[in-house]
Amino acid sequence: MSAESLLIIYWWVFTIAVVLGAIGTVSLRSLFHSAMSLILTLLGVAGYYLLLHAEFLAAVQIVVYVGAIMVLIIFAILVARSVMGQEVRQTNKLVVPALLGAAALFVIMVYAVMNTPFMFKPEGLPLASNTKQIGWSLMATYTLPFEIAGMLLFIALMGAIVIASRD
Amino acid sequence: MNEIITVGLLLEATEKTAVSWPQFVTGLKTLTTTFGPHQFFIVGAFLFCAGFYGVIARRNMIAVLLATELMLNGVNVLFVAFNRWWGVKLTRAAFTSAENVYSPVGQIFAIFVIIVAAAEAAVGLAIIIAFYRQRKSAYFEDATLMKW
Repeated sequence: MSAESLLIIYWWVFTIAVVLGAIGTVSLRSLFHSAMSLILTLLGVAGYYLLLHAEFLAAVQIVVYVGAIMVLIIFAILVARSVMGQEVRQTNKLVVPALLGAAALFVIMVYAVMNTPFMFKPEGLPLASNTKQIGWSLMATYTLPFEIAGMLLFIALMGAIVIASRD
Repeated sequence: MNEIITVGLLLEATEKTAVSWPQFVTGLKTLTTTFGPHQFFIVGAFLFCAGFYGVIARRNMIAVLLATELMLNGVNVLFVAFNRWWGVKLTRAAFTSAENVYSPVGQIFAIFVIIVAAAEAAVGLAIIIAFYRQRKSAYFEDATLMKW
């Protein structure tokens, strides 16, 4: 079996996970099941990153998204437990326009992608591990954005504590 | 200098105004049997559109937050896919030899998107919890205080 067909098989596996998870995230009634579907999608996206030679990003995706953000959201779901009501309608009256709009957006995007002559140079593809490169870039070239992002995260977490604390 | 390879799926269709149906079917077949950037573009677009639907149509605030994460992930997939196929630039490594060096700018931008997503989830959940404490509800139609 060639490497390319193996890649295709992996791509199909991750795509099924991503698509099923995305559909479940926006359509399941129980919020907890919805969050679980989102975790499936995030794991599929981490698999995509592996296919795309972005191993560091795959690890970041699993650790930060699945390990931190989703745990935070599930905590919030458990705190506000009564919002998990499954008998209540979970969609507002904009379902049909939203569905049509999303479908139209998707069709336009697919049409544009399939009609655009993309060009790329085949040489110099990413190394097997480019974690070192990412570290260098973050610490040397993109130091200021990196620090600003850290500051943003700090301020956001402080703000979250202030907003959520009962006074 | 290396030649540039074009990977348009329906290249012959770009000169004409419309794509015929068999061309489209051929393009779809190429899409699902060869490993290329288009697949990731389309999955990213799908994730974004699913998130868009969720943001517009869901009543629950936390569900809308989940849908937002979906949209951000679609954009991230696009960033990394572009970086995989277009991340090569001609540089002079240590000023001695000109060679094609892979630059991970797209992945770094994806990391920043993940950072912003974390901040957004934290602040959003704090607002939702504060709102829930006030109104005993997490549905958007109850948030009418600042609505015209």
